[in-house]
Amino acid sequence: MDMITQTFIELCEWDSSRFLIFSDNVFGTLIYYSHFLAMILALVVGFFVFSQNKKGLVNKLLFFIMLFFATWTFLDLVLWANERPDFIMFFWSLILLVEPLVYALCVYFIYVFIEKKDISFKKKIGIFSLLLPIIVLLPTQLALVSFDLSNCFREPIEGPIATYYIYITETIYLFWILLYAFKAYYKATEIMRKQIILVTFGIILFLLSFVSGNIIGSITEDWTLAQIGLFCMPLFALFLGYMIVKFKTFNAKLIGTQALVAALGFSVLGIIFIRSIDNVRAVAIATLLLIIIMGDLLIRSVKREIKQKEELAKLNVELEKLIKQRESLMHLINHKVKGSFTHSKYVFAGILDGTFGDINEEVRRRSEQGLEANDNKTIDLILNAANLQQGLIKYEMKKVDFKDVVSKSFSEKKIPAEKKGLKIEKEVGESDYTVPGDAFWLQEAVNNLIDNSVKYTKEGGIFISLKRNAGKILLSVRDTGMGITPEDKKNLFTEGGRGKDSIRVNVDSTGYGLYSVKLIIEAHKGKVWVESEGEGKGSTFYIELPAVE
Amino acid sequence: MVDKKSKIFFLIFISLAIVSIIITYNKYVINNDFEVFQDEEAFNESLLEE
Repeated sequence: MDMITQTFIELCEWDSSRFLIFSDNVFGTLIYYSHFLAMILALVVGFFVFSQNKKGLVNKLLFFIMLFFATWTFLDLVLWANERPDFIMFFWSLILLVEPLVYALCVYFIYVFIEKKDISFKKKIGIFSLLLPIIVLLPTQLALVSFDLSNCFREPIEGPIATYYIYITETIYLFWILLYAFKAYYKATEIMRKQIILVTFGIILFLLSFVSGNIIGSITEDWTLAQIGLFCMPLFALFLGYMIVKFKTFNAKLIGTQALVAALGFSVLGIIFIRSIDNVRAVAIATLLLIIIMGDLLIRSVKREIKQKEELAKLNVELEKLIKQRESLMHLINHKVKGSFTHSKYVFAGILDGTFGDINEEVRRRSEQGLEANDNKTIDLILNAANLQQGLIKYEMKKVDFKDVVSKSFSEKKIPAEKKGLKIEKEVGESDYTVPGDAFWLQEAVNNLIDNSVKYTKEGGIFISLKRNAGKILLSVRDTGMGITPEDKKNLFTEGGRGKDSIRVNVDSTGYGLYSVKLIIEAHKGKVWVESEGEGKGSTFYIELPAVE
Repeated sequence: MVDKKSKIFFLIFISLAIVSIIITYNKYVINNDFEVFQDEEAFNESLLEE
């Protein structure tokens, strides 16, 4: 620095800054207050939203917006406080880069927020390429021409990049956001429309806060009034808070939002009690009023949510009552219906064994039919499914040899299968098939699975295979039956779910057999599924269970 | 998730920005390579106004 420059600087009586940002060059506490408040809030909001979902792109983008905004605020504070021309030239250059970068990130953010996915590569190039001239020309005189010592304002003389290009770019970004939001609004659903309006309004307000500071300061030359721009930051944070509660946009917790609002309220309230900034008391009061309005909106949302929760709790109690009633009904059915079936069974058996005397051929035939039809299996199946679904079954978990379970079911189902003219085969590889489970219920599941194949196979056969692979035991039951359409597959393991033609093949179809299998196997930490190439092409049912190591 | 092409683009973009910032720092702070606009008359007027 030459002597003349040194003399000019001395004449200006600039204070030497400490830690870049502390000096008497900053007039009034308001500058520090507005900058620190904005910086801290930006970082709090940024980290808060990011912590809710570290992988979400929209959360990451908001985090970066807040981080660069906080950087911008810090740089601005350096320019207020620092006296060194070289530092002022450097930090002023940085602001020229950071400010439009925040705008670019906001464009990216609004796309991802509305579309709920990342934008195309071309759009990214479009958004960020506008910043390239600034990056490339930053160290040249096209950005900053010289340091101005025709006054004591500690400012550089800006080049065309700073005077025109940046403002043009920022205007383009603003209109980009507005036009895109406008277009998206007409395509969106009712709920999404509200979100679009709020987020667009919030972002525009936030971005204008940059510009407003410069515009108000330049027009009025009152740089304390220019700080109003930075007070838009709490408002923007409030918008976010409101959206968090209203639409659960960032999956944030209510309590976090309430804490945020309270912190905002107290921090802005603090301005009023700082004596040295009487001239901006009106600004602070206006901000506080807006915070009260926004806070009220937030609290209303929270109240609504609490009311909904209370209603839900009431409904839950009623539901529990209904479940108990259903449980009692099931017990009643169990006793009465099964009792009645058993009674009829004994009557038919008595007729057949001559307890009631001699009978003619017609009575014998009818009694035999009655005895055959009178089994408790269907009613057992439905009752079991109901008990399993309600979690009323207590599994006695022990080490069970699954091979024995399969063999027992195979022997049991072999007779009805062969009676139907079906070939039934079993293949069990040499291995240890011990699984942790309840033998009774595993038996029930395997029985139901094989039974299902027997019932829905008219001709051909059923092939059962048991294998062990990588700590898992896999049972497959392949049949040459009616097959399953992709549409039926979706409902097959659901309560009362059955194929559209199942009744035609099996008149006793309840839709509870496979549902019970699913409930039992899942309770044993296993998986059940079906594969079929389609109608008439047979099916293969699988049960996979974890083996005992 | 950001795709691979975008990651490369952002990497180049950030690298360019960092290089530009380093050059600017080197120019202004290390080498003091900037012009100072001096206007004694305007300066005196400004001082008087203050």
